[in-house]
Amino acid sequence: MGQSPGTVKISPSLDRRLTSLAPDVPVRAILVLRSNGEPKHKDRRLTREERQAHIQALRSSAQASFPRIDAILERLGGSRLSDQPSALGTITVVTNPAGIFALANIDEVQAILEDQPIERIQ
Amino acid sequence: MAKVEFESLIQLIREVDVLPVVAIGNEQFGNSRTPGSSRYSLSVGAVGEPWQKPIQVAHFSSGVSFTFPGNPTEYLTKPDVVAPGVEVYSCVPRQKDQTGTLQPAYAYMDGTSMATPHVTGVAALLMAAKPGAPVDTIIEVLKATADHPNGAQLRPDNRWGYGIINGVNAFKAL
Repeated sequence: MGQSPGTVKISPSLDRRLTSLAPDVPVRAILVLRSNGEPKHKDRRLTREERQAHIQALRSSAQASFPRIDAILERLGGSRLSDQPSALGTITVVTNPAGIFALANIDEVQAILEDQPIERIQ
Repeated sequence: MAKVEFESLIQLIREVDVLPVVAIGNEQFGNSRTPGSSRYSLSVGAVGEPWQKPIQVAHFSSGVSFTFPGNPTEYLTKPDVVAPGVEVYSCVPRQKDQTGTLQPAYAYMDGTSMATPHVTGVAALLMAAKPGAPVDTIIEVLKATADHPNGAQLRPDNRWGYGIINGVNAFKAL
C-alpha cells in the first residue's frame, strides 16, 4: 500500500484502491481543506448572518491554499474542477494516484474523499 | 466506523451549525453506514414492523458499537435514536397516467431513510421553537428525552440508541 504520513487523511479502502491503480489513471477527488475560520459560538446557534460570514471565512481560507495545490497538480498532472471552494471549504480536483498522495501530504489538506456517485439508502 | 474523510466533512457541517441527521443503514445488526457512523452525526434507526408487539427495532435497521483506530478508549454506539421507519407513506417519483401526463405518486416504504425525516422534522420544530438553542443542545435533548423500552439506565445500546424520539418531551426539556 501507498502508506505515507499523509494517508491518515485517506480511508484505508481508498488508499488500497489508489495503490492498485495504474499511475496514469485519472482520479476525481474532493479535498477538504483546513480552515482558519472563527470558532462558532458554543452557547447559541449562529444567526443567518453569522453563518454566511463563517462560510465566507471558510471559502477565503480554502482559497488561500490554492497556490500550493495548483503547484502539485501542475507538477504531477491534474487540475482543479472549479474556481471557487464550496461553502464548506472543499474543492474537487482530478489527478492521478501520485497526485492524490502528494496532496494528502500537505498541511492545507485535511482529508480527501473520492468523488463518487451518491447511493440511495431506502 | 465512519471513514476518516467523511468524518472531516461532517465535522465541517457541524462547524457551520447545521445538524446532520443521517440514516444508519439497512444492513441489520452489526453494520452501519457512513456518515451515520460519524461521531458528529445524529444517526437514526427504524422501528415499527407491525407484526412486532410491543414495538421493536426493525430487523433491517443497522446498529453497531466500535472504537476508533489509534484511540481505543473512545467508544461509540450507533444509531443515536430510532423513529418510525416501516410502511411509511411517502412521495415517490412522479408516474405517467394513461394519457402520458406525469402525476404525483405516493407509496408505502420501509427503511432507515424513512425514519430519518421524522427526526429531522422534530429537530426542525425544536429549532423553530428555540432559535437560539445550539445544535449540540438539540441533539442532547432528543437523546435525553427519547423512550427506551429498558429505561434510561443501560442506554445507549446499538439497537435502539437512546430510544424512540419523543418530540413533546424534547420540547419541554429544551
